[in-house]
Amino acid sequence: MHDRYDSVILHFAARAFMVPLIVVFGIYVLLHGESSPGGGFQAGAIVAAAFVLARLTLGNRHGGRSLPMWLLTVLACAGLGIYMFGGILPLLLGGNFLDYGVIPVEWYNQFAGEPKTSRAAGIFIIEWGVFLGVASVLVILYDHLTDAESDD
Amino acid sequence: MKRVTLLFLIGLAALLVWASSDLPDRADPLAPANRHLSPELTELTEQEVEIPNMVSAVLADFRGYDTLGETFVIFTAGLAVLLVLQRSRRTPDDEEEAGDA
Amino acid sequence: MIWWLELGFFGLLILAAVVALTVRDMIAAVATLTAYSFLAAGLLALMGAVDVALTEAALGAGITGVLLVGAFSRLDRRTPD
Repeated sequence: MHDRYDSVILHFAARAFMVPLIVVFGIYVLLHGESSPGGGFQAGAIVAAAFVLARLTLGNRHGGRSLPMWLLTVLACAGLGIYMFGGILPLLLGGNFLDYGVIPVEWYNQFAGEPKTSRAAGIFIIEWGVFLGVASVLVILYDHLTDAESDD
Repeated sequence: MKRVTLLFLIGLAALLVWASSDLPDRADPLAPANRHLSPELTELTEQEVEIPNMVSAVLADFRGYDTLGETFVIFTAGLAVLLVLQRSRRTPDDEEEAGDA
Repeated sequence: MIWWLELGFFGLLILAAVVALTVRDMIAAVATLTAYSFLAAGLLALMGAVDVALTEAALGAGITGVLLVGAFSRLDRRTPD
Protein backbone atom coordinates (compact mmCIF):
# COMPACT_ATOMS: atom_id res chain seq x y z
CA MET A 1 0.00 0.00 0.00
CA HIS A 2 2.88 2.36 0.61
CA ASP A 3 5.60 1.57 -1.88
CA ARG A 4 6.27 -0.39 -5.00
CA TYR A 5 6.89 -4.04 -4.16
CA ASP A 6 9.97 -5.46 -5.89
CA SER A 7 8.62 -8.79 -7.07
CA VAL A 8 8.86 -9.74 -10.73
CA ILE A 9 6.13 -12.37 -10.46
CA LEU A 10 3.73 -9.98 -8.78
CA HIS A 11 4.41 -7.23 -11.31
CA PHE A 12 4.02 -9.58 -14.26
CA ALA A 13 0.84 -11.18 -12.92
CA ALA A 14 -0.71 -7.81 -12.14
CA ARG A 15 0.34 -5.82 -15.16
CA ALA A 16 0.16 -8.41 -17.94
CA PHE A 17 -2.61 -10.67 -16.72
CA MET A 18 -4.94 -9.56 -13.93
CA VAL A 19 -5.54 -5.86 -14.60
CA PRO A 20 -6.32 -6.12 -18.35
CA LEU A 21 -8.52 -9.16 -17.74
CA ILE A 22 -10.53 -7.42 -15.03
CA VAL A 23 -10.92 -4.24 -17.11
CA VAL A 24 -12.13 -6.24 -20.13
CA PHE A 25 -14.58 -8.14 -17.93
CA GLY A 26 -15.85 -4.86 -16.49
CA ILE A 27 -16.44 -3.41 -19.95
CA TYR A 28 -18.22 -6.63 -20.93
CA VAL A 29 -20.47 -6.36 -17.89
CA LEU A 30 -21.23 -2.75 -18.84
CA LEU A 31 -21.97 -3.34 -22.54
CA HIS A 32 -23.85 -6.58 -21.95
CA GLY A 33 -25.76 -5.28 -18.96
CA GLU A 34 -29.07 -5.18 -20.82
CA SER A 35 -29.18 -8.82 -21.80
CA SER A 36 -27.28 -10.49 -18.97
CA PRO A 37 -26.76 -9.71 -15.28
CA GLY A 38 -24.77 -6.56 -14.83
CA GLY A 39 -25.01 -2.86 -15.46
CA GLY A 40 -23.26 0.40 -14.80
CA PHE A 41 -22.87 0.04 -11.05
CA GLN A 42 -21.36 -3.45 -11.15
CA ALA A 43 -19.09 -2.57 -14.08
CA GLY A 44 -17.87 0.55 -12.25
CA ALA A 45 -17.03 -1.47 -9.14
CA ILE A 46 -15.17 -4.11 -11.18
CA VAL A 47 -13.10 -1.59 -13.19
CA ALA A 48 -12.33 0.37 -10.00
CA ALA A 49 -11.12 -2.90 -8.43
CA ALA A 50 -8.76 -3.36 -11.38
CA PHE A 51 -7.25 0.11 -10.95
CA VAL A 52 -6.97 -0.37 -7.18
CA LEU A 53 -5.13 -3.64 -7.86
CA ALA A 54 -2.68 -1.80 -10.12
CA ARG A 55 -2.09 0.78 -7.39
CA LEU A 56 -1.65 -1.95 -4.74
CA THR A 57 1.00 -3.88 -6.64
CA LEU A 58 2.88 -1.11 -8.43
CA GLY A 59 2.60 1.51 -5.69
CA ASN A 60 0.46 4.60 -5.71
CA ARG A 61 2.91 6.69 -7.68
CA HIS A 62 3.63 4.20 -10.48
CA GLY A 63 0.21 2.61 -10.65
CA GLY A 64 -1.61 5.92 -10.61
CA ARG A 65 0.32 7.58 -13.38
CA SER A 66 -2.24 6.72 -16.05
CA LEU A 67 -5.16 8.04 -13.99
CA PRO A 68 -4.11 11.14 -12.05
CA MET A 69 -6.37 12.85 -9.57
CA TRP A 70 -7.52 15.69 -11.83
CA LEU A 71 -8.56 13.22 -14.53
CA LEU A 72 -10.48 11.14 -11.96
CA THR A 73 -12.32 14.22 -10.75
CA VAL A 74 -13.19 15.21 -14.31
CA LEU A 75 -14.42 11.67 -15.03
CA ALA A 76 -16.61 11.61 -11.93
CA CYS A 77 -18.20 14.91 -12.92
CA ALA A 78 -18.54 13.68 -16.51
CA GLY A 79 -20.41 10.58 -15.33
CA LEU A 80 -22.95 12.67 -13.49
CA GLY A 81 -23.15 14.99 -16.50
CA ILE A 82 -23.85 12.08 -18.85
CA TYR A 83 -26.66 10.91 -16.56
CA MET A 84 -28.17 14.41 -16.47
CA PHE A 85 -27.76 14.60 -20.27
CA GLY A 86 -29.69 11.36 -20.60
CA GLY A 87 -32.38 12.90 -18.44
CA ILE A 88 -32.57 16.28 -20.14
CA LEU A 89 -32.34 15.05 -23.74
CA PRO A 90 -35.94 13.68 -23.71
CA LEU A 91 -36.99 17.00 -22.19
CA LEU A 92 -35.61 18.83 -25.22
CA LEU A 93 -37.27 16.38 -27.62
CA GLY A 94 -40.70 16.89 -26.14
CA GLY A 95 -40.98 14.20 -23.47
CA ASN A 96 -40.67 14.15 -19.70
CA PHE A 97 -37.50 14.15 -17.62
CA LEU A 98 -35.83 10.69 -17.86
CA ASP A 99 -38.54 9.49 -20.25
CA TYR A 100 -36.44 7.75 -22.90
CA GLY A 101 -39.32 6.93 -25.22
CA VAL A 102 -38.62 9.89 -27.49
CA ILE A 103 -34.85 9.45 -27.95
CA PRO A 104 -33.81 8.76 -31.58
CA VAL A 105 -32.57 5.19 -31.83
CA GLU A 106 -30.79 4.87 -35.19
CA TRP A 107 -27.27 5.34 -33.79
CA TYR A 108 -27.92 2.70 -31.15
CA ASN A 109 -29.29 0.23 -33.69
CA GLN A 110 -26.14 0.68 -35.74
CA PHE A 111 -24.03 0.07 -32.65
CA ALA A 112 -26.00 -2.93 -31.43
CA GLY A 113 -26.46 -4.50 -34.87
CA GLU A 114 -30.13 -5.27 -34.32
CA PRO A 115 -33.32 -3.24 -33.92
CA LYS A 116 -33.79 -1.99 -30.36
CA THR A 117 -36.27 0.29 -28.69
CA SER A 118 -35.37 3.87 -27.84
CA ARG A 119 -35.82 3.03 -24.15
CA ALA A 120 -32.92 0.58 -24.47
CA ALA A 121 -30.85 3.41 -25.98
CA GLY A 122 -31.68 5.66 -23.02
CA ILE A 123 -30.74 2.91 -20.55
CA PHE A 124 -27.44 2.50 -22.42
CA ILE A 125 -26.65 6.23 -22.06
CA ILE A 126 -27.28 6.42 -18.34
CA GLU A 127 -25.44 3.14 -17.69
CA TRP A 128 -22.34 4.87 -19.04
CA GLY A 129 -22.94 7.75 -16.67
CA VAL A 130 -23.30 5.49 -13.63
CA PHE A 131 -20.23 3.50 -14.73
CA LEU A 132 -17.96 6.56 -14.99
CA GLY A 133 -19.21 8.05 -11.73
CA VAL A 134 -18.90 4.90 -9.61
CA ALA A 135 -15.52 3.80 -11.00
CA SER A 136 -13.80 7.16 -10.61
CA VAL A 137 -15.29 7.89 -7.17
CA LEU A 138 -14.09 4.51 -5.84
CA VAL A 139 -10.57 5.11 -7.14
CA ILE A 140 -10.67 8.64 -5.65
CA LEU A 141 -11.61 7.13 -2.26
CA TYR A 142 -8.69 4.69 -2.41
CA ASP A 143 -6.21 7.35 -3.52
CA HIS A 144 -7.11 9.75 -0.76
CA LEU A 145 -7.13 7.08 1.94
CA THR A 146 -3.62 5.92 1.08
CA ASP A 147 -1.89 8.92 -0.46
CA ALA A 148 -0.75 10.47 2.81
CA GLU A 149 1.54 7.48 3.41
CA SER A 150 3.40 7.66 0.13
CA ASP A 151 3.78 11.43 0.22
CA ASP A 152 5.95 11.44 3.34
CA MET B 1 -24.31 -9.77 32.59
CA LYS B 2 -22.69 -11.59 29.70
CA ARG B 3 -24.94 -14.59 30.32
CA VAL B 4 -28.03 -12.37 30.22
CA THR B 5 -26.93 -10.93 26.89
CA LEU B 6 -26.32 -14.39 25.49
CA LEU B 7 -29.72 -15.59 26.67
CA PHE B 8 -31.36 -12.51 25.18
CA LEU B 9 -29.63 -13.05 21.83
CA ILE B 10 -30.60 -16.74 21.73
CA GLY B 11 -34.19 -15.79 22.51
CA LEU B 12 -34.14 -13.16 19.75
CA ALA B 13 -32.74 -15.67 17.24
CA ALA B 14 -35.42 -18.20 18.20
CA LEU B 15 -38.10 -15.54 17.79
CA LEU B 16 -36.81 -14.57 14.32
CA VAL B 17 -36.59 -18.19 13.17
CA TRP B 18 -40.11 -18.83 14.46
CA ALA B 19 -41.39 -15.74 12.67
CA SER B 20 -39.63 -16.65 9.41
CA SER B 21 -41.50 -19.96 9.30
CA ASP B 22 -44.60 -17.90 8.60
CA LEU B 23 -43.13 -16.19 5.52
CA PRO B 24 -44.23 -17.28 2.03
CA ASP B 25 -42.02 -19.67 0.08
CA ARG B 26 -39.20 -18.29 -2.02
CA ALA B 27 -40.31 -17.35 -5.56
CA ASP B 28 -43.94 -18.04 -4.70
CA PRO B 29 -46.00 -16.34 -7.44
CA LEU B 30 -48.97 -15.95 -5.09
CA ALA B 31 -46.99 -14.16 -2.35
CA PRO B 32 -48.24 -10.63 -1.62
CA ALA B 33 -44.94 -9.11 -2.75
CA ASN B 34 -45.25 -10.77 -6.15
CA ARG B 35 -48.92 -10.05 -6.73
CA HIS B 36 -49.01 -6.30 -6.47
CA LEU B 37 -46.45 -4.60 -8.75
CA SER B 38 -44.31 -7.31 -10.33
CA PRO B 39 -46.77 -8.39 -13.08
CA GLU B 40 -47.18 -4.82 -14.31
CA LEU B 41 -43.43 -4.20 -14.42
CA THR B 42 -42.86 -7.50 -16.22
CA GLU B 43 -45.51 -6.66 -18.79
CA LEU B 44 -44.18 -3.13 -19.32
CA THR B 45 -40.62 -4.44 -19.76
CA GLU B 46 -41.76 -6.87 -22.43
CA GLN B 47 -43.91 -4.34 -24.25
CA GLU B 48 -41.95 -1.10 -24.14
CA VAL B 49 -38.32 -1.71 -23.26
CA GLU B 50 -37.77 -5.12 -24.87
CA ILE B 51 -34.52 -5.99 -23.13
CA PRO B 52 -34.02 -9.39 -21.51
CA ASN B 53 -32.61 -8.14 -18.21
CA MET B 54 -35.61 -6.97 -16.23
CA VAL B 55 -33.49 -5.68 -13.35
CA SER B 56 -31.73 -3.20 -15.64
CA ALA B 57 -35.07 -2.06 -17.05
CA VAL B 58 -36.50 -1.43 -13.59
CA LEU B 59 -33.36 0.24 -12.22
CA ALA B 60 -32.59 2.50 -15.15
CA ASP B 61 -35.97 3.16 -16.71
CA PHE B 62 -38.92 2.75 -14.38
CA ARG B 63 -36.92 3.85 -11.33
CA GLY B 64 -34.62 6.28 -13.11
CA TYR B 65 -35.00 8.93 -10.44
CA ASP B 66 -33.78 6.48 -7.78
CA THR B 67 -30.66 5.66 -9.75
CA LEU B 68 -30.03 9.35 -10.38
CA GLY B 69 -30.20 10.00 -6.63
CA GLU B 70 -27.92 7.00 -5.99
CA THR B 71 -25.31 8.38 -8.38
CA PHE B 72 -25.57 11.77 -6.70
CA VAL B 73 -25.04 10.15 -3.27
CA ILE B 74 -21.91 8.33 -4.43
CA PHE B 75 -20.57 11.47 -6.08
CA THR B 76 -21.19 13.48 -2.92
CA ALA B 77 -19.42 10.84 -0.82
CA GLY B 78 -16.37 11.02 -3.06
CA LEU B 79 -16.46 14.82 -2.95
CA ALA B 80 -16.67 14.82 0.87
CA VAL B 81 -13.73 12.43 1.22
CA LEU B 82 -11.76 14.55 -1.25
CA LEU B 83 -12.37 17.75 0.72
CA VAL B 84 -11.93 16.33 4.25
CA LEU B 85 -8.83 14.23 3.63
CA GLN B 86 -7.09 16.84 1.50
CA ARG B 87 -7.49 19.32 4.31
CA SER B 88 -6.29 16.94 7.02
CA ARG B 89 -3.22 16.12 4.97
CA ARG B 90 -2.23 19.76 4.79
CA THR B 91 -2.64 20.41 8.52
CA PRO B 92 0.66 18.93 9.85
CA ASP B 93 2.68 21.00 7.36
CA ASP B 94 0.91 24.15 8.48
CA GLU B 95 1.71 23.31 12.10
CA GLU B 96 5.35 22.71 11.21
CA GLU B 97 5.57 26.03 9.43
CA ALA B 98 3.96 27.73 12.40
CA GLY B 99 6.48 26.03 14.71
CA ASP B 100 9.40 27.10 12.52
CA ALA B 101 8.23 30.67 12.47
CA MET C 1 -32.35 -29.81 -4.40
CA ILE C 2 -29.37 -27.74 -3.35
CA TRP C 3 -30.64 -27.03 0.12
CA TRP C 4 -27.54 -28.62 1.69
CA LEU C 5 -25.33 -26.16 -0.25
CA GLU C 6 -27.32 -23.24 1.12
CA LEU C 7 -27.19 -24.72 4.61
CA GLY C 8 -23.40 -24.96 4.40
CA PHE C 9 -23.19 -21.38 3.11
CA PHE C 10 -25.38 -20.15 5.97
CA GLY C 11 -23.28 -22.01 8.55
CA LEU C 12 -20.04 -20.59 7.15
CA LEU C 13 -21.68 -17.12 7.03
CA ILE C 14 -22.53 -17.22 10.74
CA LEU C 15 -19.08 -18.62 11.54
CA ALA C 16 -17.39 -15.81 9.57
CA ALA C 17 -19.53 -13.19 11.33
CA VAL C 18 -18.66 -14.53 14.78
CA VAL C 19 -14.95 -14.76 13.94
CA ALA C 20 -14.96 -11.21 12.54
CA LEU C 21 -16.52 -9.94 15.75
CA THR C 22 -14.25 -11.79 18.18
CA VAL C 23 -10.84 -11.66 16.50
CA ARG C 24 -8.39 -9.11 17.98
CA ASP C 25 -6.31 -8.20 14.94
CA MET C 26 -7.90 -5.55 12.73
CA ILE C 27 -6.47 -6.93 9.47
CA ALA C 28 -7.75 -10.42 10.32
CA ALA C 29 -11.18 -8.94 11.04
CA VAL C 30 -11.19 -7.24 7.63
CA ALA C 31 -10.14 -10.48 5.92
CA THR C 32 -12.96 -12.36 7.67
CA LEU C 33 -15.40 -9.65 6.67
CA THR C 34 -14.28 -10.11 3.06
CA ALA C 35 -14.95 -13.85 3.35
CA TYR C 36 -18.36 -13.02 4.82
CA SER C 37 -19.16 -10.79 1.84
CA PHE C 38 -18.14 -13.46 -0.61
CA LEU C 39 -20.30 -16.08 1.12
CA ALA C 40 -23.21 -13.63 1.06
CA ALA C 41 -22.63 -13.14 -2.67
CA GLY C 42 -22.72 -16.90 -3.18
CA LEU C 43 -25.98 -17.14 -1.26
CA LEU C 44 -27.51 -14.34 -3.33
CA ALA C 45 -26.43 -16.08 -6.53
CA LEU C 46 -28.04 -19.30 -5.29
CA MET C 47 -31.27 -17.40 -4.65
CA GLY C 48 -31.28 -16.18 -8.26
CA ALA C 49 -30.40 -12.52 -7.66
CA VAL C 50 -27.31 -12.52 -9.84
CA ASP C 51 -27.20 -8.73 -10.21
CA VAL C 52 -27.06 -8.23 -6.46
CA ALA C 53 -24.52 -11.04 -6.12
CA LEU C 54 -22.27 -9.37 -8.69
CA THR C 55 -22.44 -6.07 -6.81
CA GLU C 56 -21.78 -7.75 -3.48
CA ALA C 57 -18.80 -9.68 -4.82
CA ALA C 58 -17.27 -6.60 -6.47
CA LEU C 59 -17.93 -4.05 -3.72
CA GLY C 60 -18.14 -6.07 -0.51
CA ALA C 61 -15.43 -8.58 -1.26
CA GLY C 62 -13.23 -6.38 -3.47
CA ILE C 63 -13.15 -2.71 -2.65
CA THR C 64 -14.41 -2.54 0.95
CA GLY C 65 -11.56 -4.60 2.36
CA VAL C 66 -8.94 -2.46 0.65
CA LEU C 67 -10.64 0.77 1.79
CA LEU C 68 -10.91 -0.49 5.39
CA VAL C 69 -7.23 -1.47 5.49
CA GLY C 70 -6.34 1.95 4.08
CA ALA C 71 -8.42 3.64 6.77
CA PHE C 72 -6.71 1.56 9.49
CA SER C 73 -3.29 2.50 8.17
CA ARG C 74 -4.30 6.15 8.44
CA LEU C 75 -5.61 5.70 11.97
CA ASP C 76 -2.49 3.88 13.20
CA ARG C 77 -0.32 6.83 12.31
CA ARG C 78 -2.14 9.11 14.70
CA THR C 79 -2.12 6.99 17.88
CA PRO C 80 -0.54 8.99 20.73
CA ASP C 81 1.93 6.26 21.82
